[in-house]
Amino acid sequence: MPLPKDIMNFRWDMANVVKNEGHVADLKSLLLDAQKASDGLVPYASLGAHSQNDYFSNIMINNAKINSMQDYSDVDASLIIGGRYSKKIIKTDVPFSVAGMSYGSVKLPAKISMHLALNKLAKNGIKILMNTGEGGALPWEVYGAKESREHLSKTHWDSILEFTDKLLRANHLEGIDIDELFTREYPLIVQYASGRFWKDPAYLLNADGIEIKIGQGAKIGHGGILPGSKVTELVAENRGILAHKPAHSPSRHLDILGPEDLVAKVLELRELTKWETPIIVKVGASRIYDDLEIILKSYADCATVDGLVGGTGAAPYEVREDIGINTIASLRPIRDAINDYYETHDKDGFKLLVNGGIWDSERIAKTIALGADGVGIGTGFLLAMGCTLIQECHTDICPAGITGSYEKLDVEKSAEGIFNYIKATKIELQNIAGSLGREKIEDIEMTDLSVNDLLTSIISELPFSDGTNHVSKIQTKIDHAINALNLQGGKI
Amino acid sequence: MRLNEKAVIRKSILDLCNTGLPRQESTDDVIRKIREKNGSQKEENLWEYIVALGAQLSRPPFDPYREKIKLTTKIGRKGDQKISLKIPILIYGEFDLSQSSKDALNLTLNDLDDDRSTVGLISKDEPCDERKYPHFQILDDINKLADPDGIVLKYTGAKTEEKIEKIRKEFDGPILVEVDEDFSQYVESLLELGIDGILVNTENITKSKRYNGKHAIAVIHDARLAINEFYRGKENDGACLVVAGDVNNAGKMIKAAGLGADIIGYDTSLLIAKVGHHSENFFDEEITAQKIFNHMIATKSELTGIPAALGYSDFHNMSPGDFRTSSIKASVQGDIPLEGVDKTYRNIVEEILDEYVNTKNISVNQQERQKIINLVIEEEN
Amino acid sequence: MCGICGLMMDDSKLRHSPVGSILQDMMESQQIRAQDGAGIAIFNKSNADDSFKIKNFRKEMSDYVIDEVKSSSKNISENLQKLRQDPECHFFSFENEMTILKETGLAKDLDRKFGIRKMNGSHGIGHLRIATSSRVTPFNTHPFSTTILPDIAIVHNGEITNYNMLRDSLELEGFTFHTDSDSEVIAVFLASRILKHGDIEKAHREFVAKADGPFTYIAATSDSIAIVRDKFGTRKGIIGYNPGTDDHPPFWAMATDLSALDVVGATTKIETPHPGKPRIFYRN
Repeated sequence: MPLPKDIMNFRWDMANVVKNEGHVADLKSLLLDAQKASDGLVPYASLGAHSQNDYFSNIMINNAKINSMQDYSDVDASLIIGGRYSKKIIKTDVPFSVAGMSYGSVKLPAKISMHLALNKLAKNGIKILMNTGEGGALPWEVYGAKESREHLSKTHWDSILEFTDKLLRANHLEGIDIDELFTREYPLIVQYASGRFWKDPAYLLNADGIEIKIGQGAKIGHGGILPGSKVTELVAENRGILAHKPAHSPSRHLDILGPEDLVAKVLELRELTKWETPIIVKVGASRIYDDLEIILKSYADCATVDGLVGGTGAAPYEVREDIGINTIASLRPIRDAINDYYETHDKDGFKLLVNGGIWDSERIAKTIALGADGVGIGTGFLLAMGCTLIQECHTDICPAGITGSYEKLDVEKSAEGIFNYIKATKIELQNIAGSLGREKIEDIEMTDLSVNDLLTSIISELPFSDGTNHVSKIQTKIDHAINALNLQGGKI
Repeated sequence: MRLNEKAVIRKSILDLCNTGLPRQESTDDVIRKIREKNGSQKEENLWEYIVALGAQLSRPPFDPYREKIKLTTKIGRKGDQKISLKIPILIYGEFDLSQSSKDALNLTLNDLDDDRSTVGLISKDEPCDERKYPHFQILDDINKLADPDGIVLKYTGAKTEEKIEKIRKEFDGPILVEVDEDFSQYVESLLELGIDGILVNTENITKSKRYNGKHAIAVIHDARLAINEFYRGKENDGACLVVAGDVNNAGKMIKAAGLGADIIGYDTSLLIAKVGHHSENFFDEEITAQKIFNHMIATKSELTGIPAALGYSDFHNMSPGDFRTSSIKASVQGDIPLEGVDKTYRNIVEEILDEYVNTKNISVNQQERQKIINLVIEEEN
Repeated sequence: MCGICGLMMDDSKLRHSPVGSILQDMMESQQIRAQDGAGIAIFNKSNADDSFKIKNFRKEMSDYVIDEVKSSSKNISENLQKLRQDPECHFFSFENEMTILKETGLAKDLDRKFGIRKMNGSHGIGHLRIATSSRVTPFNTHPFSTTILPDIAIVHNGEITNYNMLRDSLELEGFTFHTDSDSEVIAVFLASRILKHGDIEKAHREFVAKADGPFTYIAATSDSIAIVRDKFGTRKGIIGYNPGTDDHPPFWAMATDLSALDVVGATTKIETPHPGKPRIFYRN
């Protein structure tokens, strides 16, 4: 979305006012109001919500160290998805994955950086899962496995190569080796979203997993949108849509209005993939107990839950800020839903991935201790590529060149950043589990955590470091109140 | 992430990316240190701690492109004198506007009506003759009654009731009363007299002694409670709650509506300032009018978009049960459930108290129980 | 979000029509839609007398048993009061000529337990449940009725999203709710309007205007049965007519899926109820 000149000027003026007077909150709302007055449109925003309280920092992992002299590299960090109903499984070497960021919302160089970094990691023995996001997949993602190319006709393959060539040349990346590009060594999950932005059935058939996206933390109940300014001709060609027009996806799958429709959709995809491919259902955290109970009954292998802080390429500002609950707060109803379900069903391989505001090893460990099997990271990978968190992904002015094209992204340096980020995060995770005396990351438990404030204790069911919990804290308050009111315990 | 912690988070992650080695401190360690150094953050703007529950599988969202989301609001309890607003907003400000601002506003409001986006105006001035929008006249002196579509009276003690009775004889359009902080004591008797709704200005009321240290959500919550009390045992004939003051963006409007507001009083001076202030030109009536128009149309889209995402086809169908909070203070003041536990802080204290007196064998009567609970929850407030 | 069905015999002189067996066929044909619970309500005028039955679920160990309290019109409010105060008691139904039966599990299990196929009457409704926002328990299973008036039963597919708001205002007016299911609000709302103006068709119209969200419901009273879809028509619903055979008189049938009409031969005069417009059949 291009910004009119007076808005830019206004931003500049206001930034000065803020610098001098420090009205941060006012600036936000003034900017939005000015923008509305200027174009009469709903103001958009990107990345995650500015949650005032995401609880993560109020939770501690007792006695754990992220940095240790000892070698804990034998701690098992693997994650398996699938096998509950699917014949195939996905096995990764770290319990975190690259959350869905589509081509279109991030530019091609960033997608290629991630692709190259993940391949390099796979060669170094760390397989990590990548999610395509809802904007379809790139040719080397769809046809990255050798066997997927075997049955292609020559004309089809040539047209794929031709499009690839166009993509690379447009981004001045002709130097990349095509053979290397068309080797995908990491597992890929493709999103089946309400916009259906793909034009090749191989998108679904060649994937290692399919994720039905019902909602995402940044815009629950609101369809996706890729602003027209970002729908370049190549993005449009890749998605099979018109160029330079906003790419809307409906707020709901038009054929999924309720639980029985979800069951039908999962079974449809199961038939399509001959019951081989793991199927995931993704929702944003809101009425999460109810939604998860439905997913558990829907023949899915795995659920992904995306908290309020989960990012986006573009969402209406108010929708991003005001809809959905925080990641930590969603974990308690999630645990309840899973426990209630397995009271009457036999245990099976159902898995839970959690996204939203998770950036480093400690947050991964906390989320896993609170009931997740794995997590998804989006913003963390953007940071690894140089994101400055100015949250302008919906415009074309990304100063890091990730989501916009003001700057050119250094593909090699970005890939290096991602490589280091994943490698170091894995070591930190192993250190945490190892220093707690655990053999597996998944063995980190709620008993390893403590909190430092009352609200976090209420919401997470975790105790304080001195062993008290919210119940005893409130009981003490009750004691004080009884004394203050001169009610003598026992007598009355 | 909090805005002021962005830099810390970025640096912490970049440490990993640059070295590929474990850090000395996790992101949360650093954030915790900063928070300790700065002291705990005061929860002032409670709006920021309130979120809505979106619709997904257990209920599907509506899509404003496919289904029509209703914003229309009627003011008036009797069938034949209702005023209809197409956007639930009454432009309302206490300060006098310059004549040119007034003209610009008049222009906009007429344009909005042409666009089938009628909003109303509350003002001290006499209504314009060529207006297409409803005008509520603020009436200090009964003798100054012009020819408005509705009337706003300020509550000024017991005399107000006499005034209402008198006006009712001459005027059968809607009458709204702007109340002060003691509204709980007299709202029922005002409604009994046949007024059509009350107007609370949260900014004024939160400055009063009674609401000292409290937030707009507490005022809205209490005002809705007072109106509901009036309707106990009878059918609701639609007395409305107009909320003005600290509700000046779409997010706050949605949350206010969830807490019980029917109509939002949108501050005129603020509106003009917002859109006029940064204009490249000096004050130009038409440009200003166009900007206010744009602003209202964008706000209208926001006000339809969010209810749709919550699964509603009508702005007025949201209820407190659709909201959650991440602040104990907000839970106490607005009676909003805490996120993740779906109970208010009051509910949690009640449960723990009942369990506690049971195990300790303390007998507490209803009155004492309430006192204890109030003391405990006030502590967090 | 479930499977619903209903039928109304076109010739009520035959009060002993095989309503139960037709309903059972329709339910079983829709079983694929939902497996958490099943229930029916069947109306038979010959059951009508001057006594009222209040049925409750009472928890015994881990199971629920059905309690039945017979009341005359004199002590009815007293008995209802007792029920409201007992936390172990879950309201089941308030019946005069109507019979409600419901249970968690499949439609076949319901028939095995209560012999639905042997039941006769003039009209009836049936429901298959998949839980969305309330737990899987017998008392959250449809049909729902209300203690406000006897012989009102509703089955519902979808979600009344502004349930909280409607419930709050009905409770303020003084009407009692017994479960935490959004579907109950339909029964209570209809009963409250029947008390007010006695016009069932108007009551349905008022409900559609006030209720939000995607839904189709079928509501039965002692002399009517109606199928109602939300104003956008987001949820399914279909009506058909069976011209009758030697075994049974002609009847109108309605259901979520066409297959349910197929299986009972109600395939003439097929129509889809217009969104937001109640389609009512009266017992003649």
